[in-house]
Order: sequence, then structure tokens, then C-alpha cells
Amino acid sequence: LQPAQSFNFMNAYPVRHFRLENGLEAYLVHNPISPVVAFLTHYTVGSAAEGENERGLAHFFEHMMFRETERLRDGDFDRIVAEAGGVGLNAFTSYDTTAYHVNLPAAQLERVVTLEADRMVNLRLSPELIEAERGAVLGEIAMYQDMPSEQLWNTLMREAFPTHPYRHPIVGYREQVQAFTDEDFARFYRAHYAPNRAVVVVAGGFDEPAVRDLIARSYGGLAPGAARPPSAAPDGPWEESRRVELRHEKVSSETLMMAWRSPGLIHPRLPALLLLGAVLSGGQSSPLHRRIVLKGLGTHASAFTLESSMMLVSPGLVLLDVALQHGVPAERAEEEVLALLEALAREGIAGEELERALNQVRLHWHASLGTNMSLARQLGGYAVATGDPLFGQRLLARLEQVSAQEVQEALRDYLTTAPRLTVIQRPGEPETP
Amino acid sequence: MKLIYRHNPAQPLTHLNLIFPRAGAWLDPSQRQGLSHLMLRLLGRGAGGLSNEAFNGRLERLGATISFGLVNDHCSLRLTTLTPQLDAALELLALTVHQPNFDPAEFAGLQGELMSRWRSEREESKYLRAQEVFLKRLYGEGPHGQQADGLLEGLQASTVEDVRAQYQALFSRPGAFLAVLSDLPRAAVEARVLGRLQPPATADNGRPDPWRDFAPPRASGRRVTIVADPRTQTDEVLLGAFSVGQADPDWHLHRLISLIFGGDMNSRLFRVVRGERGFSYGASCWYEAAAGRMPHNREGPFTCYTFPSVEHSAEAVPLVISLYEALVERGVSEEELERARTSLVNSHPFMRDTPAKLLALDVDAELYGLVVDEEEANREKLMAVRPEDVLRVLQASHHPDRLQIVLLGDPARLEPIAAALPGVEKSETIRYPGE
Repeated sequence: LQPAQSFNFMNAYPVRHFRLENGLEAYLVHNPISPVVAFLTHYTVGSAAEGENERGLAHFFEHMMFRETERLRDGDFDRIVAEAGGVGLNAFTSYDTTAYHVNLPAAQLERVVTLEADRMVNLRLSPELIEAERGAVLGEIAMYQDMPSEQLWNTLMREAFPTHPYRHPIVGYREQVQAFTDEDFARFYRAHYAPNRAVVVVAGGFDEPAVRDLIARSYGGLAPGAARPPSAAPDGPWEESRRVELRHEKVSSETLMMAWRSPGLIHPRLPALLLLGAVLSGGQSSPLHRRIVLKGLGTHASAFTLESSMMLVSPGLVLLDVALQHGVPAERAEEEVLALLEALAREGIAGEELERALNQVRLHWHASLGTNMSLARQLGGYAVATGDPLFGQRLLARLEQVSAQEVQEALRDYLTTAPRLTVIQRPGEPETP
Repeated sequence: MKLIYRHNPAQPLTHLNLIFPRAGAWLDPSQRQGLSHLMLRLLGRGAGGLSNEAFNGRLERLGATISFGLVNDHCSLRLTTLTPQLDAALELLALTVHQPNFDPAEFAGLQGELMSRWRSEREESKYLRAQEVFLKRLYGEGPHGQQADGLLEGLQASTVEDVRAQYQALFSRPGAFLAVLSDLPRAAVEARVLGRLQPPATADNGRPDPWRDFAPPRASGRRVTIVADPRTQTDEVLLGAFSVGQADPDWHLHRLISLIFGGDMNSRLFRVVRGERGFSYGASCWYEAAAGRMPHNREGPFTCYTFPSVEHSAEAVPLVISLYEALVERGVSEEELERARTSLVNSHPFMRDTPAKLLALDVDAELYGLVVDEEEANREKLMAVRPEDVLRVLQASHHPDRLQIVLLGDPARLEPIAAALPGVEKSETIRYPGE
């Protein structure tokens, strides 16, 4: 156990951070008004770490973590957590992380930390259970295939990232998932699940020395594994603007998505791009909402950066998406959007618009931190993505300093003078490959 | 006006919810389903003579939002604001409540927007389509199964005059109250809020509450409705029959039943349908009275849900029915009961672990007279339950012989599945009504 560091999150939540000798990072976030705790374990592996024939393996593996270990029979994990009073037991796989989470009465934390430490190194990957779980995973892929928005999203990501692994769907491809072997799972487990690949967060009301001791006892004896592999190299800059269209037989209106390359979460100009998103679409009085929704062109219009919404390690995208009204062609909205961006790049951002954007960001920031789990996800997610658990808080502080001129310059440099990708989904029969 | 308050010192925010009991989507006139939804959305588009743009510009620059909530039996207006701006935000909320513009041009724009949104949401979600048909089959025609966002034809037929009349119909019902969560102390909230937000007029509009004498329609036999959607990768499967509401004296037994049968990853449905057979990504069950759409205290359906991959539906549909039949016929094991009791006892703190949840309990008490047991009473009640108690309740209030079954997918595959199900009195294939 290395010496703990103390800091404060949002001037409201004292945080203790410590690192075990085997590399496990732990954050204890004290919420003085809470009688319960959230327990979250992030592994520094997501779909972006998969090899060419492994698309979907990180997600499938997440499912297998709920089955058997050397000590527990299939079903014991869920049963013990339920008996402990755990609620919201679940997990998610993203591009750069896989996270396991549950809410618990503080007195029951030991039972679940013990289970979590056990499955970090003692998972049993029996062929029978892999086969049974394969059906559920294929069912999940099939469920997404029935959603028109998923097909649009997959097309956008494939076109936006020519080589970077963000281009692949997190759940992978049906054919590959059907072909994963027992050895694929064993290899993935050895390569990515170890204490030095984990960040654990406990948030809520707890006795800090006891929880520190619990984490040291539960994880301290586990051997470290392979180091986190370096992230895939970002794609080079786009050379020219491109357009892609797809059709879906189940939609009756069009959807427009426009994307530009953005510089990454820790880049110094990211705050200006974040604020640009709020200037454009933060609220009903925002210019994008007025030009698209209130003009009767669309039902929804928003602008945001992918790396902030998904806590990405690698550079992402500035995204602008518009759901059109029935019978309105996407090109009509596209004209409005481009005219708006050109006008703002030329004339600048009014002080009132910046004030609205910043206050909307403040409001949603505070409103998003209402539970122990949201605190844990904020700190743990940024610790994995940037190495700094307080990154979100620092980002908010940085947003307060961004000037209208910085937003205008970011708009010019990253949007109006840069190549863009336009993806349009229209009603109709899809083209067969 | 009554004000319910909870303190939340951790966030510099004030959430204020103005709630209108018994003023929900059930008050939509026939042929105007969706009118309440339209009216509430139009409230946010300008008030007190301020245009939509001026009103929302002023509100949003403060760091505030106004939204609304609508379910079958009540509606609400919600203000969320950075607390330092509460006074200015309240003035705008008061304008919304008392002086809405209901501008015809804004109405026309909103009508088109909501109709497009209504279509898109159902094109994206097969579950929404299946659930809409399922509730209509259960509750029958009339206002009880009315969904909050209405029907396409109802939205289309509505006029701005209808909206004005609906404003009167919903906001003139007596008993409106405020629920507030704030980092300010109670006295400061009361001084600011009650002074600025006068109670709306409380003359009853004369329409009887349809829930007062509600009796669930009595179906005989099983009925299958296949909603045609030929090209899907997964099918939607919803089945259920009327059971109880939260006012039932045995509600704690029903919480156990729901948890054991389909409430978590260790439940029968999840373990068998997903874990053992791999038929579907998910399988679960719930009481409609706990789902939030209908009055919590009234009888509502008990629903089982799964969405098997199409190649598994022929086995998954009869499997779910047989699991349900076995539950009602033989009840639960001592081991299952012990697990569920322990789970509900130990998870009791999560009923009250945040100020927002405490406020939601207060609102439920005000709306429905429902009071959640304290920890010790909850423990005593649950620990006293025996398997025979569960079986008694199952056999008295669950009716697998009267199931409404809705299957959404390719009729060519689903019709033979329906034909092979036992006890089916009527089966029909329909196009989704919104198509």
C-alpha cells in the first residue's frame, strides 16, 4: 500500500487515493449525506484494444465475468450480491474501458469486494457457459441490428475512423462472435484482467480506514499482469470532405450527422469545442434549435464532442446530429447548419450566447452528480481516460475561462475550414452489398 | 398550496415540481389522444407575452430549464435552476403556469414536430410498439390504457383551441401541490416560492375520475395479437394479465414474486431464458403498478417480457408461458424465498438513500396515500412470509389462463407459434395501428 493522497471533489466530497504495490488504483469518495455506497471497477481495456479477429471480444468477456470462478458456481455471483442488498448490478463495455458496478449498503461492501477481487484472477471459462452466453450476446447484437440509429452510428464511425479501432462496433460482428474459441477468452483474460489494469472507486458513506484495509487485503496479494498496451495510433487528418448515404426500410424521416475531427480530451482547445457545442445546441433558445426545430425542419438538433461524451483516450469527433421532420430532406437542414456555422465564424459569438451556454453546462454538470454512482463514474471514468480523476472538475473550471474569441477560433479551425464527413440516413430499401 | 420539501446540501440546485393530481393523459378527449402532451409542450414555448425565443433565452441564460412530466393519471411542471437564480427563474415559471401564450404559429410547428417524433420513436423501438398494443389489449378502449404521448391521429386532429381547453381541464383540477428539492433551507424556499407561485384556479372541471370506479376488464381464455413486422432480428414478446396494485395489503408478497420470477439476474426468467438457454439478451417481469405509467395504487397487469432472436422464438414463447404457469401452480421454493427476502431486507436503504428518492416517496404518499414501511417493519413483514403465503397470493391474483399475449415480428414465423400455444381463445394478426 503506497501513501494515500487526499483531495476534494467539487468542494463537497473528500477523496482519498492510493495505489497498491501491484498497481491497482483506488479512489474513496466520501459522500457525507449518503447511507450507502457505490462500488465501481474499471478495467483499462475496451473494444479499441481488440485485435482484427477479436471484434466484440471485450464485450462478450464482460458477460462471462458474471458466470463462474474457481470458487463460485454459475449463478453464485448474482445471488450473493442480491442477498447483500446490492441494487443495479451491471456492467458496460466502451471503446477504452470495461466497467462493473453495483450499489450496496456500506456494511455489505466486504462481501462484494471479495467477489470482485476473486473474478479478477480466478474466472473459469468453461466451454458450456461460453456457449450458453454466446446466445445472449448474439441476441444483444440482433437487438441493436433492429435499431435504425445503430446502423447510422456504425456507418458514421466506420467512415470517420479509416483505421483506428473506434471504427468497429463495440459489440463486434456476428460472424466473429460466433467463431470466438475458448482459447480466445483465456488469452484475453490473461492479457487484460489484472490489478495493474484496474481502477476501483468506492463512493458514499463509509468508514475510510476500514475500506482502505479491505481493498488492501482483497487485492494486495494478487500478482500484476501485463502492462496496458499503448493506444492505437490516431488516424491522420482527413484530406477532403466526404458524403455517405444509407437507407433503412423502417424509417420514415431522414437523419443527418455531420462530423469533424477533434483533438482529444486533454488537448488545450477541447474546452473551446465543448463550449461551442453548448453555444450551438444548449437549450431551446440556442441557434441550432431555433434554425432546425423551431423552423419546422427537424425534431432534434445537437452538437457535442465524442471524446467528452464517451470519455475517450484517443482523439474523437465534433458531432452534429439532426433528426428531420417527416418529408424534410436532410439537405435542407444541412444548408441551415452550414450557414449558421459560417455566420458564427464570421461574426463571432455574442456575450449573451456564451453566458447561456456556460450556465447550461453548469446546470447539467451539477444535476448529473446526484448519486454515488454518478460520482464514481465521473472520477473513475476520467482516471482511466486521462490519468486524472479530477479532470471533469478541471474541465469545468477551464470552461469558465474560455472567451468568445477562443470559441470562434475553434469553430474556424476545427469546423468551417476543415474537411467534414456527412452521413445521411433516408427511408428506403438498403442497398445490398 | 401545499409544499413538500427535502433538503439537498450537496448540489447548488433547486428542483421544483408543480404537480396536478388526477390531471393526466386520461383526460385526453377521444379522437384527441396526445392533446395533454401537446398542451404541456406548448406551455414551454412562450408566456406572459414573451416570445418563445425571448422566454427561453431569458430562462436558459439564468442556468435553468422548465420541463414537464405526464403519465396516465397526473402531470407536472418542473423547474430546475442554479439556486442563486431561483427568484428570476420562478417568475418565468409563474408566467408559464398562469399566462401561457399558446401562440397558433408555435402550435403548428410543435404539432408537426411531435408527430414526426412520435413516428421516429416507434420506428426505433419495437418495444414501444408492442407495449402500446399490449396495454390497449388489456385495458380496452377508453382512457385507462392511454399512453402519455397519445396517438398520431389524435395529435393530428388537435387544434390550438383544443389546447386552450385542455389547459383548463388539467390545471383547474383541485389539489395541485409543490415538491421541492433544494440546498436552501425550508423556510427560505417557502418564503420565495409560495409568495411568487400562486395556486392555480381550483374549480373542478366536472369530469369524473375514471380510475375511481375502475374494474379491470375480465378476459376469458388467452388472446394472442401478432403485430406484423416482417424483417426483424429479434421478436418482441409481452404477455400478462391483470393482477394487483400497491394498495393491496399483500403488496410485500408481490414484491417477492416479482423479484423471484423476473426481477434480477438471479431470477427464474433471466436464468433460464438467457443464462441456460441463450434465447434472448433479456427476460424480466414487473407489476404495472410499480412501473410509473398508471396509478400506483390501482390494479394493473403483471407483465412478462422477453425479446428472443428470431431463431429461438418458437421455443422461447412457450417456455416463458410454462415458467409462468409453473410459478402460479407450484409457487416458489424456500431457497428462492430466502434469497428474495434477504435481498429486499438488505436493499431497503435504497428506498431512501438520496434526497431525491425521499421526495419521490413523499409525492407517492400525497398522490396515492402509499407509505413505504420503515426498515424494521419491512424486515418483520418480509421475514414472516412463508412459501404457502406466496402460493396463496399467486393463485388468487395471477391468471395465466387469461393471458393477453402480444408478439411483434414476422407473422409467417409467429402465427404457427401462436397456433401451437395451449388455451388460446382468439388469435389475430394486425398491422401496427400507427403505420
